[in-house]
Amino acid sequence: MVGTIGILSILLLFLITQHKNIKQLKERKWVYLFVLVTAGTSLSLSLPFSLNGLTEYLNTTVGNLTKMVVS
Amino acid sequence: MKQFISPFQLAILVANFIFAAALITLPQILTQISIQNTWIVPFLVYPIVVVLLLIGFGRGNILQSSFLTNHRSSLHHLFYITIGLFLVIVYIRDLRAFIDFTSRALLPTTPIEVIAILVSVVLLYISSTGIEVVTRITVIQFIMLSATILSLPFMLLNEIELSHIMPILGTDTVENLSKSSFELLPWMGESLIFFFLLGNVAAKKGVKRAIIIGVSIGFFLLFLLIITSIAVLGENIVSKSIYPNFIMIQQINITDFLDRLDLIIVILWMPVLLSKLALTLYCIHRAFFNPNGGTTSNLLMTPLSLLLAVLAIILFENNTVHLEFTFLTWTIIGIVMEFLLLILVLILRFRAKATSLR
Repeated sequence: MVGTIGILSILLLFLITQHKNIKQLKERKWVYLFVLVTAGTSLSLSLPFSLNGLTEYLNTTVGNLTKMVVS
Repeated sequence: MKQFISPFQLAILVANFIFAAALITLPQILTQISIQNTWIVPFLVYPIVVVLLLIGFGRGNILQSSFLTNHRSSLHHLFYITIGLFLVIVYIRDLRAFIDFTSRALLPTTPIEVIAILVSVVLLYISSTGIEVVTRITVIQFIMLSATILSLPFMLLNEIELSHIMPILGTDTVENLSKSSFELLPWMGESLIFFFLLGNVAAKKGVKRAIIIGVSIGFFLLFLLIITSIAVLGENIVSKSIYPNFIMIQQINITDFLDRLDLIIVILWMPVLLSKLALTLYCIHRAFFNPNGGTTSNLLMTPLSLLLAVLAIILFENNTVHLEFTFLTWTIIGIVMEFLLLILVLILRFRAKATSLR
């Protein structure tokens, strides 16, 4: 929860302080998209799901190749 | 205006890039595989890395000119996307390692999310100033840490046991050394970032020498740390502890008064790793959003750094998953991506040569 609040606060502060600069940018859509993606991803810090499954899948598939070489 | 660095600064950046994160946990897995012969491993990997980099760079400065020009081919863009992805993995891996170390050794009651946010804000502040500032910070901090590491064997003279580092020759020694070299290669192959930074080096002379010096410094310091930690702790402790170098510097006991030098050395090491992470963040931003390295807006860097910090937390449920990723998964991903990058660099060089001959 602390992490989500911290990240959302920083993003909000960023949008408030840089609002004028973002408006002048050509790639402002990218900035807003990134802010949205980051805010969305930060919610997973306080929700019961994570991307740990992806890492564990990589560890068991790709990681096993290293295990085969090393052990 | 585009920012430039000197060949000396490039050498330090490369040395710092291959050394700063490798010292955290890598000696553990290397020692598990090749026990007390581990200190030989850097000597085996060093020629491979140097030869690969020299093959990529080639003769003359064709590749450097190709990166310095503002005209970008689709191959350049493919190179930038590939190295960008490579650096994203390196950044997430190192940031999580740094967070876990801080959480375990220094701030055990602080939530890792808070550490991640604070570190990301610091990195954002450094990276957004550009490569010149990142380089200057790296040079200052790296020289201080290098001097400390060079003095470690003298500070630990009373704890060193030479029998711990006597090479043992057995039937499986060569096999074990080869396995350790396989683990070490992708970590040292991170020196490929040198090709990415070529576009920021204006000087044409001494670039090839700079890369060799940088890689040599990084390898030598890693060798020194491995041999000192095995000599002080013995292979049994090194292969079982997550942070063997941290335990090793805790053994420094010059007098009763100077017995907590470990905290001072950790404080010297932290900015070095932060410099590496700042350089990585800068390069990720440039690879995806500003390949020409000119002066454009850094506004995307704020959400980017926070997104990577969140990923560093949610991708690894705990330290064990992260260590498994670092020791096993990263080895294969790193080797594959580094060879892909090397192939792209070779194609870029041959195409640049063909264009210059026309």
